[in-house]
Amino acid sequence: MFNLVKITIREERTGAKARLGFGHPSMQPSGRGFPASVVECPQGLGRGEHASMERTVALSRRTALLGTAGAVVAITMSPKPASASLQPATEAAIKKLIGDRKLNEGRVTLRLPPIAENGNTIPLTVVVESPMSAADHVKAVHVFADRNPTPDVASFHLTPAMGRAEVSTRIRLGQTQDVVAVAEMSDGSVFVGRQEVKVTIGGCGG
Amino acid sequence: MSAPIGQPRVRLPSGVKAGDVIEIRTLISHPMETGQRRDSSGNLVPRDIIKTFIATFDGQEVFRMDLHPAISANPYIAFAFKAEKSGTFEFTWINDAGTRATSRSELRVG
Repeated sequence: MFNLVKITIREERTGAKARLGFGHPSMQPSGRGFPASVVECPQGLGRGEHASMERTVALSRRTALLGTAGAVVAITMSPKPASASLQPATEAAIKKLIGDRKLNEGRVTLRLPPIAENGNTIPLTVVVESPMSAADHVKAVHVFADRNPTPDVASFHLTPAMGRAEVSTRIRLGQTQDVVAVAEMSDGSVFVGRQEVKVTIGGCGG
Repeated sequence: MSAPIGQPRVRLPSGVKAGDVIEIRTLISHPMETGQRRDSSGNLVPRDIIKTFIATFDGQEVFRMDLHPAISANPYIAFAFKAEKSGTFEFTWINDAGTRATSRSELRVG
């Protein structure tokens, strides 16, 4: 019992640190010798390396603690339906591009491998249900990686000349996380889709 | 100091009929340096990415993409296109420094 309590406290601390994480000066990797695999990380999701590594550790503890961490997360995030909860940085990035418009579920499909062995290059296809006519088409699709150091991945600007709202690329993911696609329609409505990818060898070989 | 933009590669399908929705696939070699990676001596490697891709058909923009550092090295970009008539695609990749690489491809619609 004592042991469990101890672990829980540590868990909370690492959790807080990870949230503070990206971009905060205190989280910059210091000079105290990273393993070569981390320093050489070709993906270089770097600035948050410390943070994301800790977070990975925290996640595995979470699993072991059967949801203790879930409670910690729930307390620290603003109240909203669990299905819609995203990292604050992701929410800010979405808001920056589409403002306060309502996010409708549906119409957006992300094709991603459920499990990615290499976080450095993960194939992504986004398909949006739309006639792609002059009167009714998808204007833009914005893609976000919820737990990357910076959530922005790409913005695609579409036109009716495409005939079908379908785009593909390859992306980098630092760790297991949800990828979110937000589609802006020509009538101003916004639809959102998301898909989880389990990253076995995280962006930085961790 | 930015990395050279490599030779673009574009693949258009052949035997296209009017009204077909085809997939245009493009690839260009580029390291897509995130600006967050450190070299072996611990210094940050400056960010250097392709940040914009533009596709035009007979001079008209049909597709554009803004790229962020989370796009993999050697960016692969593919998009749908409704083939109505033969014409010329022009693809442009632009890096952080504003350097452009362009590639032209003829689309033949039979």
